Amino acid sequence: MATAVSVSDLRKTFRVKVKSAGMGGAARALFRPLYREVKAVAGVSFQVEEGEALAFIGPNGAGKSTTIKMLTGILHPTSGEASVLGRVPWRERENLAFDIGSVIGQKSQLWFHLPPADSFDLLARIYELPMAEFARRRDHLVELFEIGPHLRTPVRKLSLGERMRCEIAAALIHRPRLIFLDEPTIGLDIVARQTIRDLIRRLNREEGVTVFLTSHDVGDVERLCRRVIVINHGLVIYDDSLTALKRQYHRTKYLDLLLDAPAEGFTCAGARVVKSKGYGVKLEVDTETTRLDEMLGRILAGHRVLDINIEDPPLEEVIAAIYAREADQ
Amino acid sequence: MTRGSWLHRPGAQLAKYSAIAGVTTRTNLAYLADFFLRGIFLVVVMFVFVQLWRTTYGATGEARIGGFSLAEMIWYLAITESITMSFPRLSDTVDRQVKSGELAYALGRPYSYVLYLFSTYFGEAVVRFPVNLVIAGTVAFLSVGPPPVVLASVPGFLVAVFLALALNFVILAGIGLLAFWFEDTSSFALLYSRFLMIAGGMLLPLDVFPVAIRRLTLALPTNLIIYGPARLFAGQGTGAAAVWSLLGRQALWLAIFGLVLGGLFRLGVKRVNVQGG
Repeated sequence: MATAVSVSDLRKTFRVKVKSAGMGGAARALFRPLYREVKAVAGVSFQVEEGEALAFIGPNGAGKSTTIKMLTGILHPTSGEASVLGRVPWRERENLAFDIGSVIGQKSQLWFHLPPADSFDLLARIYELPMAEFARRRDHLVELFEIGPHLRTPVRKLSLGERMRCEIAAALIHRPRLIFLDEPTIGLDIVARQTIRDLIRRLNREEGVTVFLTSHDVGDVERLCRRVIVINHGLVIYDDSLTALKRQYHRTKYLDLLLDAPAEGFTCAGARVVKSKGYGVKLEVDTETTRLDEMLGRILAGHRVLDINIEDPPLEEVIAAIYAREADQ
Repeated sequence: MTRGSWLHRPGAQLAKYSAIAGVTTRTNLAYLADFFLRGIFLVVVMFVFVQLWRTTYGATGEARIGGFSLAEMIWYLAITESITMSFPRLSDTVDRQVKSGELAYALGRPYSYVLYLFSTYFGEAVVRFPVNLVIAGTVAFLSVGPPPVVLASVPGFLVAVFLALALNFVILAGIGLLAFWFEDTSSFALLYSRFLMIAGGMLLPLDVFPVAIRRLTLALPTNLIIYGPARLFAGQGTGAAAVWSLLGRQALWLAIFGLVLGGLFRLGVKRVNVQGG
């Protein structure tokens, strides 16, 4: 498989003007402005293969957007190297733009006052698509995204869910090989979110589009991506599969038990009772201090258990734990 | 097939930027109320000019002031107002795009940002100028009769208006791009627009100025944006040599400011500073 994105020791430092308070400060800043350096990206390296679906996550201000802006050629890095689909993004921005697409959830890229159909036509010109090819592609996307009824409605009159489907279709009109998705499901209801996720998944599986996803919604990450890169304070702090992420950070397991007697007053050494109601009880176990098999043995020796369910903590908690651990260090 | 290249695919490039201009035109046409309001303002301005100059010509008893008859003067002003009021607020837009980081999204598309701006600017001006011309022309026609324009100079006039709009574009876009270095570019824009009013010949033809000032203003490129085309329409300097000289000077300054704008953009884009978001 070919490499879609290759990043090596990429850094971006911003110089931010520091403003002192008061008139004196303003006057001083006029003659001798003070600057503070902000290391937005502090030496990031990773690779993405073509056809992969990667989640690139991190807390606010971690350096995600800055990295993406360097990978799309919008920002020039302070140092380091990157290659996207074989091109150095900031040197070949315009050429690279033909092969990549991007969707930014909080920012519409469609022309607000025009119906999506007009935006599609305009994009066909901008991406220099042959008209026959464009018409085929557009019809395919309209069918796939079920946006036929909205094509002639001005974008400003569409619901967020309808608009997002049009946004993603617009980002795909020129058949990009790589697509950057920045919070593609933000603000959407559950059904709309599922629809968008399914569509992105299909594109990745069926068309082989490399997906580079940034999202604070773990549902997006779980549904779409096999691999996760976690970035914080401008550094990559995790880069592996989603399964490995869960395993590595899963010290905690949840045990759901259904007993044949009322669960009230149920206790078990090495486990904390999270809640008990009727015949059911939920336990939290720290697998670093307690061996799960031994504890299960103890429970089964002392109680009749009708049903048992062992769960991992939600991914959200796992990610929160990674962020928190980094903040402590 | 080389994409994004004028050399290899000029047709595709032309289609691209025409499409962008076309969309801006359509968006502008959607705001008819805005057009109507501007129209009223233009009628008022023209009415004031007509009264002012009628009184002036009457009081001085002169048939010509600065070489202009009353009819020529009113038609001159109809053109200067039509041109000035077709200028889109470009420097504000660029300033905002640079500061807000909106520029970043424009940079993610396969087009030249400067040409993209020009297409949107032209798409707007191309609607505004004819509308303004009809409105200001109607007031002028009703006040002083038909325009003194020499029919043979009409093509030259139209080219001169296009070059004038383009010249104004490169200056305004350049002022907007200064936002990469300065906190606020609106003072530059204000200074430029006031300068155009006086030294560009918007309020008065440069011919009425004292010799020294006239020479100075004629040497500056600002006279090519308003005074040049308006004077041609008012039936002055309509000889082939004068028209070619006007177009030549416009093209020369366009090339000079175009190079400066290109340089500013290349320097500025390295300073794109969009954190977060």
